[in-house]
Amino acid sequence: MKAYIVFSSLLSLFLFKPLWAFETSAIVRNQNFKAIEQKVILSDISREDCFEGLYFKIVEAKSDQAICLNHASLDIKLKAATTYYHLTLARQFFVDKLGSAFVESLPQLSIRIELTNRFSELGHFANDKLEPQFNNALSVPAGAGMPGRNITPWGPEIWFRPKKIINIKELEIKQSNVQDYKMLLRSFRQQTHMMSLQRFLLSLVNNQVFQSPNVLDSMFRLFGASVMMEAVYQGSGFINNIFQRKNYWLDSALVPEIIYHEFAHIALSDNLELSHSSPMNEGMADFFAGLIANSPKLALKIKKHNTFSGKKATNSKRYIQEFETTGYANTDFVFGLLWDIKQVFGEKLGTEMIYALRQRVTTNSNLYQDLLQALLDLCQDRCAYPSNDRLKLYQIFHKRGF
Amino acid sequence: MMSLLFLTATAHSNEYSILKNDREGSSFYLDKHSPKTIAVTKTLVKDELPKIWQKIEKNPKVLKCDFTLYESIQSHLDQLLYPVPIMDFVLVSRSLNYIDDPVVDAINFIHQIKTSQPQLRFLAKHKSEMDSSAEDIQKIYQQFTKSLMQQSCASSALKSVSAKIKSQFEERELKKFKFKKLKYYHQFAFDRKWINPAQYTLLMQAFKEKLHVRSFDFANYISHKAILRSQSPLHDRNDKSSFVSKKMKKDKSSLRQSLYQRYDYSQILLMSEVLKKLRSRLSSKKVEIHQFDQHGVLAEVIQLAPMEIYYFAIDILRKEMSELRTNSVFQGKAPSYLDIIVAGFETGIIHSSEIEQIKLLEQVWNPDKTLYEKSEVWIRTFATLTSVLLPPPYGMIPILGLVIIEAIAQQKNNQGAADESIYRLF
Repeated sequence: MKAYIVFSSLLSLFLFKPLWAFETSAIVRNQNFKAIEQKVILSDISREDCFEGLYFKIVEAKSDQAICLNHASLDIKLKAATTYYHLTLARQFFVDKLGSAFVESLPQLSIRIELTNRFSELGHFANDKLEPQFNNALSVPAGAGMPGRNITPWGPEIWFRPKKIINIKELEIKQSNVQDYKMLLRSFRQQTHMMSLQRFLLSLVNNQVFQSPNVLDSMFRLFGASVMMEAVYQGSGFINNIFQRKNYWLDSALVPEIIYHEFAHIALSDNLELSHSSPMNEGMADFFAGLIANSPKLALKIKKHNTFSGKKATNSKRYIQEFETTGYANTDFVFGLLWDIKQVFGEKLGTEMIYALRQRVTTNSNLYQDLLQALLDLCQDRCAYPSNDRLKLYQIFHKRGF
Repeated sequence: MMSLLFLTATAHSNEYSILKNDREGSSFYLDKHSPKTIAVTKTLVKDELPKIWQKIEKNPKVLKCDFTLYESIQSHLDQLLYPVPIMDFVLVSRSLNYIDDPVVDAINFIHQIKTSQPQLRFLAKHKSEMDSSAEDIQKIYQQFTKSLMQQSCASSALKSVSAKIKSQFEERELKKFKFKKLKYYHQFAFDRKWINPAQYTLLMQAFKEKLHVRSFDFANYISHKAILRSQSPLHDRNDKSSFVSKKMKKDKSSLRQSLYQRYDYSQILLMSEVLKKLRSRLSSKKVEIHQFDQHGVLAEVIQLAPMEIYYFAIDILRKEMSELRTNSVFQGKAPSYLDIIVAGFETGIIHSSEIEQIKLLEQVWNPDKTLYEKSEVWIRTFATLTSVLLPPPYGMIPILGLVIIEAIAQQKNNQGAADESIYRLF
């Protein structure tokens, strides 16, 4: 026995590289879920003073060399530290809490920050000039490479795009809040004018307008109210432009929940292939990002690095058929639905069920048929009281507008 | 006849007592009494309880008459070395599930009759009306005394007096009988010595406690429960629900008591059958619609999506509920969804843990109103009035309020278009 311990210690000295840990600054969440820059310790580092560990290697753009602490840019170092730190947390969650053998067996992942190239299934990186990408992040599947063209094989990777400040008008995004406010104002304007007209016609019919100076005064007030209303309505666009946010950016490598979300894609890719974004795989990745963050909110309260609205599982969005399309893959509807299930079934069973869900759906599964059926079947197999618990699921589906 | 035979069998069976509580959770009768008093009585009679109930149930008559049951309990308590108030004993028995709430209610009612102190002498009224049919009235009271002499159940005899007087009056006068007149009839009979003072007191006590309008019948309850337990044996006799035993709003009874008051065993079985089918449909793995062409050849099979199965099951449930209303067995009664749930639990079709979820299904066709929906009429009226009454430009203020409230409510209603959806069949 003693000989065996000595032998294994010697073997580990020869076979395994020594591991380091170092302290550096990263963006983390405080107790109030506010994003702050704070000193953190990065562990499992396999290359001294560099952001390369047993499980992750943080590289810049297309490079294969890890970013090191001697990098000139503080911003790049912050991004490298933030991604490394949160990816380590995400990996621990899948290995320790969910017991994922797949994640445990994953080779070292290359994490690319500040990469603008599009992904090419054949060539790894698309041409530099082909529509450079900003303000997002993506997980890419492993590729065989093209030895003839000097493209080496690559493993699954996570790419974080650089931020780019974009004028909001260029985005042409429907801003629901502005639309709602305009609708409200339009309705108010209509009713006010209608009321003024009614009062005026009533006075006219009663022939009061020209008889009493008080009535005439009241008519002027009425007219004034209408003019005032019209001025507010017509000027609302102008006022709106003054107060409305003008620019948009997203520094995905500095938003913890985006890092969790992307790692969740990799962790779930044993069943949900990374081919494209779908409501199914995005919803699943959101759910696990929420679990790792221990919050139903994703990418919120982090205005410095994300000016676009994040995701909220507590949004009471109801199902519409459009949610099945890839165009709506990034809404928080599926996230909210899965979160509801976790809330009703409890942290343990809810998480287990949804983790097992990946084996019963695919990236291309639809929500209305496949997702609901898979959840009902899962409950039949795993719930303590299937007939009652399936009813709970039906209730959740009903509330969500299915 | 069959039910009577069954009753006798169950009364003597050591395994199962028909009086025993096998469905109800906490009792609202216990909430009304001081827990201290019950605790004290419990320590006094705990050891005696099984023996006393065993002895009581040895007499099959106790299952057919609440008066007999009451007197039997009282006589056993009298044999104890220490005094135990009967209602304390009953409540302790309930807390230990020797009896259920309808039995407590029956004993409690007899206790109220026995302990009530009615006014026995008062100014006689309606004398001429009674004089004209004295012979018929005499027969009713003679029948009553005969029944008591033959040791028939006192509550049936008492109820029979009021029912006969009522029907005789309505036949003769062709108008509705008012039960408040009943006391004059009893006094009329007593004055003519058709009944003795003890019988008169009993009649007046029953009148004071309004036995004549009481819909719950103990003997019926026991017989219906016995048939239900034989027709639909409970898989789990320890599965109890406080949902069925909680007191209903504006009512003196629980949902379960109300079920037995309004429905007989055959109706309860039919209602639970509806719930059984609902459960089966909801747990279906697959539901298909088969369409055959004009030659009877299968032309198309449409498979329902999970939520289509759910809404289909609910639609069929509602259809079957409306069919129950037209079923002759129900004699015009319209069972509610709640009745069906309680019937389903009573027959053991559903487990207590399922009640809450099954009840929530009603939200699909009868959703709870939002605060805005409840107050919509008042808000609109108030806003319209104030917009007219306030001089311009202040008239805009209530309109603005109304528009904001409407916008918020509309926004909530429009989140998703499930109700107008064409993507689902049901």
